[in-house]
Amino acid sequence: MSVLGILVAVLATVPTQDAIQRKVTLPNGVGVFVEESKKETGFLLHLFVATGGAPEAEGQRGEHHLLEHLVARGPDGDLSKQLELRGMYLSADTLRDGIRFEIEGPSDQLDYAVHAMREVMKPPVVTADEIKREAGVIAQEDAVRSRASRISAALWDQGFGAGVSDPVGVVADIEKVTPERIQEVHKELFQPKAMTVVVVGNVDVIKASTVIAEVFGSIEGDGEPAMVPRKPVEQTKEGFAPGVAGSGVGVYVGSFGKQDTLAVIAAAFALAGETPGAQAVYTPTPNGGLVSVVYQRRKDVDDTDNTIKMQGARLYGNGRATLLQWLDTADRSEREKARMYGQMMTFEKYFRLQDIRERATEITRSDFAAALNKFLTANSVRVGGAR
Amino acid sequence: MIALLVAAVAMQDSPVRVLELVEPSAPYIVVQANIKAPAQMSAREATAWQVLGRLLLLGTVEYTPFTIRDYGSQAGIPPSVTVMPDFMRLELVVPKGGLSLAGQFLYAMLTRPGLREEDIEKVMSQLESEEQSAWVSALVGIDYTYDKLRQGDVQRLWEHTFRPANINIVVGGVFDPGAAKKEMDYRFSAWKPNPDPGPLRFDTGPSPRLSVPGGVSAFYLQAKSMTPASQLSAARLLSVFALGVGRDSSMTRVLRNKLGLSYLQGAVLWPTRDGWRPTFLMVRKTENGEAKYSTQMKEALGEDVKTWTDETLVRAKAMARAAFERTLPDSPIWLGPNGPMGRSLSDHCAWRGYLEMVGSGSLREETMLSAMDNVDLDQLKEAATQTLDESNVGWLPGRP
Repeated sequence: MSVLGILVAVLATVPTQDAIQRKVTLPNGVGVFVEESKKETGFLLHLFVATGGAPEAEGQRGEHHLLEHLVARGPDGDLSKQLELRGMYLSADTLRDGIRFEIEGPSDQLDYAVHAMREVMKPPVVTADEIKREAGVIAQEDAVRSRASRISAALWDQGFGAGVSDPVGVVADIEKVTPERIQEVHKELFQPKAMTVVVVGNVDVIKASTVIAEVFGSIEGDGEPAMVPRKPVEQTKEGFAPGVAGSGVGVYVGSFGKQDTLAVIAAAFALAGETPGAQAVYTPTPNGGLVSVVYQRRKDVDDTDNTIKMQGARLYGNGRATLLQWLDTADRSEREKARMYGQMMTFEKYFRLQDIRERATEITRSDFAAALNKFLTANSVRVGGAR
Repeated sequence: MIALLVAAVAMQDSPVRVLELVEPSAPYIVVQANIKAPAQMSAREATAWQVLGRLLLLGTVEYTPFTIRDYGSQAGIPPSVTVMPDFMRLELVVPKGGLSLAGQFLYAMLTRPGLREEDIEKVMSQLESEEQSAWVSALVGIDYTYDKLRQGDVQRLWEHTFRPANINIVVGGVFDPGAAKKEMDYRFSAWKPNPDPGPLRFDTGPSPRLSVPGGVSAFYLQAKSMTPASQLSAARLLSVFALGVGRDSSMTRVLRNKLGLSYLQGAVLWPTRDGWRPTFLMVRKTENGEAKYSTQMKEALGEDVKTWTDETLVRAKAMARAAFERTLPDSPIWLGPNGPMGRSLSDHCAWRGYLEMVGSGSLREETMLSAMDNVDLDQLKEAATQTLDESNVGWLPGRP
């Protein structure tokens, strides 16, 4: 191993109140975050492959999603079986900004899990028939999307252009993907600099970092991950989510780390708390995006302006408390914490959840009021509504 | 989850049964009341049960809904209620040191709810326009009607069911052992429910659900309920994990990977007043001629059971351990309509409260896991075959 090879950039090894954390960037660019928490009974291993928010081209929508489905089977198609025999569980998702893979398991199986995750990184060898069958499964996945997911997708269509950023893709496009094309997509996306590996749980920080470095340090590729900033389209006043009974309102925000983004999230929590069944929807990302409130009923969104005008002043306490509670819950949850670090660290190496929380505590009444006003009809994107 | 349990003390001399789950490292205190529904309800009473749950959050005789929400959200988690067909669970989460506040609100919400006519109409309108997913609709299985309810219906049901013998309270989090019981004793000792609430007007039960919205259909196999502590339940419980839990379960291997029928399939141990009801579900896009899929699902799973090997047994045991000891996204253990039990303090309290309600309060997870560890392959296959054979086959066609 060359001198440069062992000069792994250790960004920090920091003991916190309940945990020891370590951040590392491997020589090939893979980001690593490990947190040891003795309170846990197992671990969560998370791999995030950033796609940088770049929209898939017209006619190729859903290629990332198909790739996720195919590689999650493992090269021999039995990866889940091997993991589950050992008490572990693999799940995978395609998001707007990347693809994530997660393995949960008992602490003594971490080495096996890291090696299994490396299997996921291998190019998928598939036939056209297998792609067609998987396209059928994705069609079923699209059909069973939750109401919140559909309304959120409709809001993104309103905000950023129809179909541009929906991670599910277009089934007709997916059916046309060839085995050769999926290899190309794999090569384009699975670049080490686009990857972040996170382990949170009852693990030894040094041992975990070492095995990750051994396994993921050998991945080759020099492609740079690019984050394409999202540009809102010219606003339309209202949209509709076909076939969905609910409604929603969305507000443009920048990076998760910004204080005004946090204020908008607090406002969304407060608004959602005012209507039974309503949900605040947001995925932390270094890229721009939407913070949404999704309602059960089509007409609920019409009450948003009135709620802001009549109740706005008393919503500050609940909104801020719920935001802090959400961050604290994420800090205590292996899964949520791993997801936040995975999504953020590829582009913000020094991301710390503690910093976000500190910023959240500094949200003032006027910050909150300004954020709340962004949900007014004139300032937001909407789907549903009786008008 | 087992590690979280520092002390669980069931205290019987309180007017309401109180369980304490002391967790010194918890950031707050979770207080839950579990209320059991009547064994039989008419269609109107079943609807009243749903409405009653929502009404608990809409104020009491002395507190407005704003007061309850604002004071009850100081820990960042608003008061909530989970209404199931057979029980409901009211939850308050308060900051450390907030036992008194929680006791005050819980007592008021359980014993002096507002139950106002105008709120009933509002809640009915909300419930009527809300749509459950096909998955949850199949599990609930009831078609609620929201057009015939009066205040007296809700009032009568409340008087009938909100009684000490029908309620357990679980308090979890950071407090001194005994403090929660003391607080609840202090609050509830004054409770004098109506001694003669009168019988319910059970005639015919609620209608079964016949379809689901959203353009997707649900196909299911529904087995007989079993209590976690019942004899012979270990093999049957394990068979649920083998059949429907994990990506190498029979359901995912056969229905998704081999037949390409679905993306969403799996097993749920749906909590009822009689224990868990194992339900095997597949949800897929609605299409013509789809009625065949439920039977096809049952037959395909039955055939797959015949091919099970020792690896099937090992995998099922490993999945069961993962569900009870750690986090398993695919876990079949549900405590409400929003998905599997997780590892939060709230879920932990709900789990203990449910076990208490179905008469298995003394059961510990390790006992269940040990019983499942002793199951052999023949017993597993026999239990799975029996579970499938006795299952009702169901289908809820989708509508646009």
